[in-house]
Amino acid sequence: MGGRQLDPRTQKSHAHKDKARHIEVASNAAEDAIEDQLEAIRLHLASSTLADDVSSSPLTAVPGGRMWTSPPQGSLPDKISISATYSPSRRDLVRNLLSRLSEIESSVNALSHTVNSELQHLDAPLSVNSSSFPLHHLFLECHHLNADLDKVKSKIASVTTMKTSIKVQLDTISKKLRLSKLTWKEKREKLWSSRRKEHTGVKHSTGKDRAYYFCGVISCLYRDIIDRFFEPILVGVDPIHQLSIFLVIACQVILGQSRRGCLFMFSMLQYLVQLCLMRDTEGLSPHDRLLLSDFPGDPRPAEKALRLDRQSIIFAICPKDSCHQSHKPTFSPDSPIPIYPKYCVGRHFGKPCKEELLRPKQIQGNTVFLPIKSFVYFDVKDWLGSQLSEPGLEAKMDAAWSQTTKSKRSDTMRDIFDGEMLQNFKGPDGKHFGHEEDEGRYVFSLSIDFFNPLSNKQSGKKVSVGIISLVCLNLPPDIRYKPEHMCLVGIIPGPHEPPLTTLNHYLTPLVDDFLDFWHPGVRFSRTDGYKHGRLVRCAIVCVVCDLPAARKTSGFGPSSHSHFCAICHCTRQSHGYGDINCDSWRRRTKEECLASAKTFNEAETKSEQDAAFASSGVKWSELLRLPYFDPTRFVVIDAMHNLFLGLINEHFQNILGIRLDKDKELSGPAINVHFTDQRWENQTDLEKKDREKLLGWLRMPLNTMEGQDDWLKKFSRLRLAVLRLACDELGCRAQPSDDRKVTLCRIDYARGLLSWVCRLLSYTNITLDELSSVDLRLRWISIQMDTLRAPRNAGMFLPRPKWMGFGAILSTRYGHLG
Amino acid sequence: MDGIRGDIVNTLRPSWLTSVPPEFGSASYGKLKADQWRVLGTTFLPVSLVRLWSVVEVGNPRSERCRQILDVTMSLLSAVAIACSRVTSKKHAELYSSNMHSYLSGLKGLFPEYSFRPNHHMALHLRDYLLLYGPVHSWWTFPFERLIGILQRISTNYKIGRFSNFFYSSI
Amino acid sequence: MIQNCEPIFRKFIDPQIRNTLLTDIVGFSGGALDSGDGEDLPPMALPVKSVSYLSESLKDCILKHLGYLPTSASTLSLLTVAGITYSVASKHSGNSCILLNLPSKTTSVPAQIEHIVQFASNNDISGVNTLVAVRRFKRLNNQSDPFSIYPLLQTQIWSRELGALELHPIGSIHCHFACSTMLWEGEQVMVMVSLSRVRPDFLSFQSS
Repeated sequence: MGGRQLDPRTQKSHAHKDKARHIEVASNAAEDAIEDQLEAIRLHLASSTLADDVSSSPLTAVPGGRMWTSPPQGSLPDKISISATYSPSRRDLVRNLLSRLSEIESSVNALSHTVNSELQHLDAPLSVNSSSFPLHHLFLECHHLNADLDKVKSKIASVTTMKTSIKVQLDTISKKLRLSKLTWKEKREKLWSSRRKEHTGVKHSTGKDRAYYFCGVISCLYRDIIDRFFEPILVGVDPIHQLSIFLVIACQVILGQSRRGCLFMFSMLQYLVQLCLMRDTEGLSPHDRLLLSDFPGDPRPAEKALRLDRQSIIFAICPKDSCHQSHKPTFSPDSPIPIYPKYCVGRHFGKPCKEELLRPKQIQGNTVFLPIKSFVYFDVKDWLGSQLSEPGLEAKMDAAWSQTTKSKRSDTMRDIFDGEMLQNFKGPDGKHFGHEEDEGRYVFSLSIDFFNPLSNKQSGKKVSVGIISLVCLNLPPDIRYKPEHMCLVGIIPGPHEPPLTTLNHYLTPLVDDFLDFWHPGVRFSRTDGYKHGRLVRCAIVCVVCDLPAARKTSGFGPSSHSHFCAICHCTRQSHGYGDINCDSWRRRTKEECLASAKTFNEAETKSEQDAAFASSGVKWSELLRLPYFDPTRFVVIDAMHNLFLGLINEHFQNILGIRLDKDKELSGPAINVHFTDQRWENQTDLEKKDREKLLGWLRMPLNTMEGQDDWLKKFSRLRLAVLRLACDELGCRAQPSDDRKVTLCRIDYARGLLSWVCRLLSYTNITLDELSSVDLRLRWISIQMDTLRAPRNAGMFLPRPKWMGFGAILSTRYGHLG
Repeated sequence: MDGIRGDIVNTLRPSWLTSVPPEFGSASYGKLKADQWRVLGTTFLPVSLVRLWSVVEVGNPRSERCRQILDVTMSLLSAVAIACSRVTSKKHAELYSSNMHSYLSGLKGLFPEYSFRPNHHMALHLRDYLLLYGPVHSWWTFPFERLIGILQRISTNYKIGRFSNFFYSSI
Repeated sequence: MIQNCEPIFRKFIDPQIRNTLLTDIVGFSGGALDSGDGEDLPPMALPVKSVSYLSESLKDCILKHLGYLPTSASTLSLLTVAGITYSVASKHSGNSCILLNLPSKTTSVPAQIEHIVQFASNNDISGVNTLVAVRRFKRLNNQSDPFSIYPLLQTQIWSRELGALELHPIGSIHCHFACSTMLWEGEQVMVMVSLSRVRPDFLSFQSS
C-alpha cells in the first residue's frame, strides 16, 4: 500500500528529475547556441573595429571577417567543441582546461611585453604616405588569442575565473593599442593638412590658382579611387590564404575557369593544406585551426579583395532604334542600387521620345528596376589612374615626348611621335602639347569596331556588338598594344549596329571625360612618380577604325554617298572612285566640317537635315565637341583594311580572277557577257527587257548538253531585234535551217547563239563537273566587245586549255586575244 | 593556281611567318584574313607571278598582256610593301604615291571597263597619313582586331576589364 | 608573398611568338641585337665540352676566325635575338635562312646557318661569345634578275650553291628570308624574299 502511495511521489520525483534533466540538456544546448552566436558577434565586431582606414580597407581580410563565406560542409574538427578531445572524467577535464588557459595566459603575457616595448618605440608618422598603422599585426595577435580563449567553454568556477582574468588582460592590451592608434592617426591628419596648405599656397602664386582649384574639387572625388591603387591588398591575410586566392583567381581570369571550378579548387586546397599541417602532428594548433576554418571558399569575395574590377557605369539606353539616348544612373547615399529615369528624355526635332527604359526584376524579394538595354562604360580616369600607378610606366609615358624635342629632326620616322601630327600638336595654352614637364601629357588613339560575339557557326542569328577602345600612344610600341595596357572603354550592345547618328550617344561619356582631360585637366592625388599628386591632360589624336565605322564615328556619310570622301570634296558624279588626279582635289577643312555639322544638328525638320547632309556629306559627331579635333585629319585610313582586305583582295579575286569566296561560287562555268554596243541605247523598253533576259541566260551555266531544245525555244521567244544585235555583238552567225533562206527569223538567230555557247564550252574541253571540282570561276572571261569584234574567225574562240597550272588559266582567260 | 599552291608549299620560311593555307583558292577553305593576304601579297605571289609571266614571248599578244598585268600587279605589291615599312619618311611616301598611281593608271589602261571601288580612292589619300602619323604600325587596326579576337573567345557576360590590371595591383 | 610568384606567373601568361603580328609587336623594340638575349628561350645548349667533338670544318673555321682554338665550347641548336628565333639548318630550315650584314658592303647577303657555337670570351672573363657558322649562297653568273625591276619587293635570285663555312658574330644577322626555287633561263635558282620589316633597306642606308 505504501508502495502504491510512493508511486505517485516517485512518479512525481522521477518526472521532476526527468524534467530537470531535459531542462539541463536544453539549457546546455541553448547556452552552446548562445555561445556560438556570441562568438560570431564578437568576431564581427572585431573585424569592424580592425577594418578602419588606418588598418586596411574595409574589404580586405581580417581572418574571420566578412570576407569569407562560411566554410564548406564537412569542415574541420575545430568546430567540434574542444571538450570532445578531452577525456570524459571531470577532473581531467578541469586539468586540461586549466592547462590550456595557462598556455593562453603565457601568450598574453608575452604579447603584453611586446606591446609595451613597441609602443615605446612607436614613431610618429613621418610622411603623408604612411597609410597603415605600424602595429597592426599586434591587433591581429590580440584577436587570435581572444578567439582561442573563447573556444575554451566551461562553467567550472576555476576555469571561468582564470578565463576572466586573462580576458581582462587582453582587453587592457587592446585598449592600449587602440589609444595609440588614435593618437597616431591624429598626428598623421595634422601632417596631411599642413602639407595641403603648402600645396595650394605655392600654386596660388604662379597664377594657376583657378585651374588648380577646379582640379582640387575633382581631386577630392578621385582621391579615394586613386589611393586604392596604392593601398596594399590582402593586408594581414595569412600567406597561405593569399597564395590560394591568387592561384584560383589567376586560373579564373586567365584560363577562364568557371565559378564551380573555383569552388572546387578552394576546397581541394583547403584539404591539401590540412593534410600538410597534420603530417607531423595528430592534432592541430588553434592557429592552424583558425587558418583552416577561415580558408576562402568563394571566388567572388576573393576577386573583390584583389580589386580587379574597374569602376564602371551602366547607362540605360533607349531601346527605340532611332533614338539610343543614353541615361546616366544616380544613386541614393549608401545604396548601390542605380536609379534611372523611367522614360527616355531624348528629343527628335522637338518631339520627345518617351520610350520606356526600365523593366522590373525581383532580387531577394525586392523589385528593382533595371534598364532594358544597357551600355557599360568603364571609367577612363580610373583606368589611367591604374596605369599611372604601375611602377615605371609613368616615366616611360613621359619619355615618349623626348622624340619631339630632338634638335636633330631626321627624315626617317620610326614611330607615331615622329609624324607631323604629334610633332606639331598644340595644347590648350597654345604651346606644344608634350613640352610641359610638371603635367602629365598623354595622347590616345580611339577605335570602334563591331563584331559578332556568338561564334559565326551559329546559323542564322547574327548579333553585332560594338567595342570602344583606347590605346595610349605614349607607351613604348612594344607594350602599347598588349591587352593589359589597352583600355576597354565601352561595350555597345546589340543586336545591331546603332544606325546613323545614334552612335554619338555611346560616345558622350567618353567625350565628357576627355573634355575634362583637356581643360582644366584632371589631378590625380598620387601617381607612381609623383607621390603628392599630378595634373594630367590627355587628348585623342587619332581615330583608327575600318571605313564604315570610321565614317559613322566621325560624322561622315558612307562611301556609297555622293560625297564619298571624308578628306576631300570629290563626288561620285564628277570624279568617281577611279579619279587619280590628286592635285586637282579640293581638301576639306576643319571649319567647313564644323559648320556643316552644326547646320545638320540645328536642322528643325528631318527633310532639312537630310538636305544638309546631301549637300555636304557631313553629320554631327560627338567627337566634334573636343575643341582640338579635326575630322579631316584625325580619322585615319586603316591600312590593313584598305590595302590587304581591300586592294590586294580585290585585285586577286576580281582582276586576276582567283575566286576565294566559297559562297559566291557557282557550280559551273559562267561567262561574263557584256553588251556595250551603242545601238542598245535606242531600244524600246520591251527590247531592253529581253536583252537583260538574254544576258542573264548567257551568264548562267547553260546545260546545253541536255537541254538544247529547251534553250532553243527560250531564245526564239525573244524579240528579233535583240537576237540579231546579240549575234552581231558576239560575232556569231545565224544558222538557218536552210541555207537558201533569205529572211532570217528568230529561231535562226537563236540557233546561232546556242551553237556559239556550245562551241565555247566544247573548246574548253571540260564538262561542267570537272569545272566545279577545280573550283574556278571564269568570271574574267569578260568578253570585251571591242576585242571580240575584230577577229571573227575560229581563232577567236578559246583554245584548248590546260586546267592544271596557273599559267594555263591565263591562256584560257586571254585566249580570245590570241 | 596549282603553280601558286606549289610555290607556297615549297617555300622555306621562318616559323613566325603567318601561314597561308596551301588550299587557298579552293572551295573547302573560306576567306583569308588580312595578315594572310599581307604575307601572300608580299612574299609568295611576287615570286609565283614573276616566274609565270615575266618572260615575254615576242609576237605573242597574250604573253605581252600577261606581262603588262604583271607590271601592274607588281606596282600594287610594291606600294603595299613600302607602305608597311617599319621605318618611313617623305621619300617612302613619295614612292608609295608613285607606285599607287602607276597601279591605278595601269588598271585603267588594261581594263577600261573596270569599275573602281572607294578603297582605290582612299589608297591615294593614304600617303598623307604616312606623313602625318609615321609608320602604319602605330595606326592600323591589327591590335584592335586582336583585342576583339580575344574578347570573342571569352564568355559574353560583360565582365571584361579585370585582366588589364591583374598582376600590377598586387603591390 | 604574391610578388614572389612573379616569375611563375610570367611564364604562365607569356604569349609565344606564333605569328607575324605578335612578332611585329615584340620585335618593335628590337633595333639592337643583344647577345644577352640568348637566354630568352632556353637555348637547349649541350653541356660545355671539349672542342674535339666539333667537326673539322668548324674547328678550322674557328681557328681562322679567332686565331686560336678554345679548349671548350658548346653548340646551340637555336638562338633567340630580340624575340626572333634563328636555328641551325638541321633543326628548322626555315629559321636558318638569314640575311647577313657584311661590314664591307651596304646590302645584305643570304646565308644558311649551319652551326651556332658559344664559348667563353677571352676579353671578358664573365662573358660568353656566340658566333654563327654560316654558308653563304653564291651569286649567279651574268644572269638577269627578273626581280630587279621591282626593287621595292626586295626579292633577288641567287644560286642554290652554298659557299664555304664562315663565322660571323650574331650582331651581323639582319633578318630572315623566305627561300623558294624556280627555273630561270634554264637553271634552277634560289629566290630570296627578304622578310625585313624595314622597306626598302637600301633607302635607309642611303639616308643615314
